[in-house]
Amino acid sequence: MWSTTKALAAGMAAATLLVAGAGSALAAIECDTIRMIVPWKAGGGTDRIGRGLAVALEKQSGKSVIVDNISGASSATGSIKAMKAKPNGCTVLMNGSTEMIAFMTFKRNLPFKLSQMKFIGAFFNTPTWMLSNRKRGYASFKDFLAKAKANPGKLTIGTGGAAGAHMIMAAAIKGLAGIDVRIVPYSGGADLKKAILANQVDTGVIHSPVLLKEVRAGLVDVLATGAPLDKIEFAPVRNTPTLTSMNMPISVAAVRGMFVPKATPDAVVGQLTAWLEGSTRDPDFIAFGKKFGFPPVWIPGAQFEKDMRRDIAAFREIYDKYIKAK
Amino acid sequence: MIEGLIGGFGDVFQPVNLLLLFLGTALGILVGALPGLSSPMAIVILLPLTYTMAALPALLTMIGVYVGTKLGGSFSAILLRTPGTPAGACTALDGHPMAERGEAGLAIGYAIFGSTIGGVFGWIIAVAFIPALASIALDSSNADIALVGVMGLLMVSSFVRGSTLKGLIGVLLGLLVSTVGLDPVDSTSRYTFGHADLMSGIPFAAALTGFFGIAVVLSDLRLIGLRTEKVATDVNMALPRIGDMLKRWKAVVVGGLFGTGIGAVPGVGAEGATWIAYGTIKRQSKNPDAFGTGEPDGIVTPEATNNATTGGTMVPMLTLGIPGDGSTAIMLGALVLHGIEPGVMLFQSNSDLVYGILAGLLIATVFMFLIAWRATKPFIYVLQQDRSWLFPFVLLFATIGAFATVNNIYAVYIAIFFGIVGYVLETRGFPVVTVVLGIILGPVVESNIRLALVLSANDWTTFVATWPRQLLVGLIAIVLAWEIYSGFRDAAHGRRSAIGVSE
Repeated sequence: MWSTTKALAAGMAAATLLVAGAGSALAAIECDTIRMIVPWKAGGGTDRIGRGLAVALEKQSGKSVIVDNISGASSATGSIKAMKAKPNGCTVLMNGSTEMIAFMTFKRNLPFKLSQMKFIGAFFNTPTWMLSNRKRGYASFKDFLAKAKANPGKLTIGTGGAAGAHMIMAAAIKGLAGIDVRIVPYSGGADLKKAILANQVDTGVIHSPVLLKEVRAGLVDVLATGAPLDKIEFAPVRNTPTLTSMNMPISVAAVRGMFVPKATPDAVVGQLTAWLEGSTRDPDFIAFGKKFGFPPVWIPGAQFEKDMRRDIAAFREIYDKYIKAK
Repeated sequence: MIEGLIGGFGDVFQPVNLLLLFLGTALGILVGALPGLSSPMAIVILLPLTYTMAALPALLTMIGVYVGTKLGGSFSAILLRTPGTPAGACTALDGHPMAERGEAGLAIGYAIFGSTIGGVFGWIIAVAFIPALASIALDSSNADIALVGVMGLLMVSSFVRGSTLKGLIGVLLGLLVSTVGLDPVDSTSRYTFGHADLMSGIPFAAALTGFFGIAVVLSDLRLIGLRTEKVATDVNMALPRIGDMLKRWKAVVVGGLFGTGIGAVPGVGAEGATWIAYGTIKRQSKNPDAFGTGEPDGIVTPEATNNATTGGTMVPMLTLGIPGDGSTAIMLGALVLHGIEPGVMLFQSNSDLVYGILAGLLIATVFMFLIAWRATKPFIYVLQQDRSWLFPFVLLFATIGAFATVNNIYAVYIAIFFGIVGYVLETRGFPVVTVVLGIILGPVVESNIRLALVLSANDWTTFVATWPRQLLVGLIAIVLAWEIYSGFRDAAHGRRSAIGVSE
């Protein structure tokens, strides 16, 4: 009995110390408003997720959170601005992992590097998928590959841009599967969406859940995915084969996360981490995510950084082998 | 369809919805009239305010802003020669000369008339032909859009008064500017000089703010100290007479058709549509030389066009979930934030909302007419004041407007640069509008030609592969032949030089 009481007391003391320790690891962020830079134009996927997150972050932090759309250069302009901001937690960057590293892959002399930032964490994961209009009649990704091999130079893969993650995934499929297809870089996601709906391309590579409604309606099929779709709300596509499962070792997904300048104190990073992680458990944000197509996830900063560094190396390999060499 | 629309009107006629639509429209006219501020900007600012609303009232507020800005842009275009929005730029060509003649009220009357009738006409076409327009919006391919763009570039001669050569130099300069940034197909950097900001190209709206805001201020500095008496002589709303309106049916029909048709095709935009419609109506006019000197058709046509685009852009937005311009992109985002996934099934899954939006679009056009009618006098009163205090406001709003295009100070430098370039070009007799036409249509033509070629495996016959494309190529050939012929004819008569300076 005595030993039990002693153990309980020791446990309580330890817990108190832990709480006190945790408290000291969090710092007050000295501003009433947090400026969240979303480096894309208003209305796009990342912007919508950012605005959903802003509401949840406001509840967590008790501060106003404003979305600042600083667009340009495939999100590099806004990212550069965010990394030049005062490292006090009052300005944060919210962006998708693949868009950042894909552009860094295409333009390696950008005045902006992963080493300039601290990774707060990632909260939303939407894999990049390959779609096809059902009228094209592809039963599966393997069927597409077979037809591409039988008709060299004839088939097309549309992408939502010339220097983004879509292009990397399309080039990876073309190069790693050894097929001769034409890659058509549309001027943006909306143009590619239209081309798929109008059946003007054989397949299109775009971030999920774009065209999910059409997938649900049976107008468009999901042939392959750049990362597992196991969390998607629409259950019938959860088992879509990943590129990795088909011997194409690359992961492509728009993982939205938060970043701050490298000089930001650890205590401030700790506070932002707590708020961001808390936001992913916010019932309203979860409901928002489910309506969007995916529930929020939580990937701690260290893991997020590791994933991004792994992916940028893979992207650069694909670029050097199959895009630059062309 | 009719039942759905009746239900839609019923929803919009709820007092709160009507009030929000009215307030949105009034805000839109005000925002539109302020040089540099635009519809997407206002809608983004409103977005957080609509989070707590239901989807329909939220969308109605945005629709009001969207419709109102289309007309508002013409007020400052007419009175100051500085269009409030890119879509209003074309209206300055004839609106301002009319205002200088002391007919500011009448010019604004024509703009209100053109916008309202064009908006209603565009709405009727959009609603009546939704399935056909949706199919055009969906099936228009890159080759089709490229040919429409080329057609637009050919309209350059419509904006050239005097030297054709200077007009051509202007449009080539515009095309050159439009090549700055990453190549749309190979992502090669062009004229970026290592600057990340330039990789996305020149922000078109910032360049326009420079050309039409800062350049106009610079060239009109001589007017400082003069209260604009010419503009002030007639502040009464001289409503165009019914007979006069009827005579201008062609301008409304051409504007309505171009606005709805081009608005429905994602990728060309309202800005391009106004210039193409203006060029077309001038070409058909018995007195083309009157255009640019204060011809009412030169106001009615672009205004009918830009308001008709609101009906056109609703078609791909509501039937396909594809935005036709910046404002509809944000509205689509707003739908998602309200838990509604836009796309091909929207008509089936949220028909009440779709019909409510369509009804709201028409009612907003009527509100626009009523508000603008009452607001004209105060606008004229404010905008006729001494330039010494008016210009600082123009520059202030131009700066804010340029900044807000990408939320970056770099866009302000772009505006200042193009303001100076525009001023120099204008003083040397180069028509600045041709540069703008090149900047607007350059990316449309380039990216679509290149994508069409990638899709066809570099087969140039893709541009004549379907009958609509053959028709467009035929039209282009006819316009080109006519231009060459009329150039030589005018040169022979000494009216303008085919290749050099005249007048």
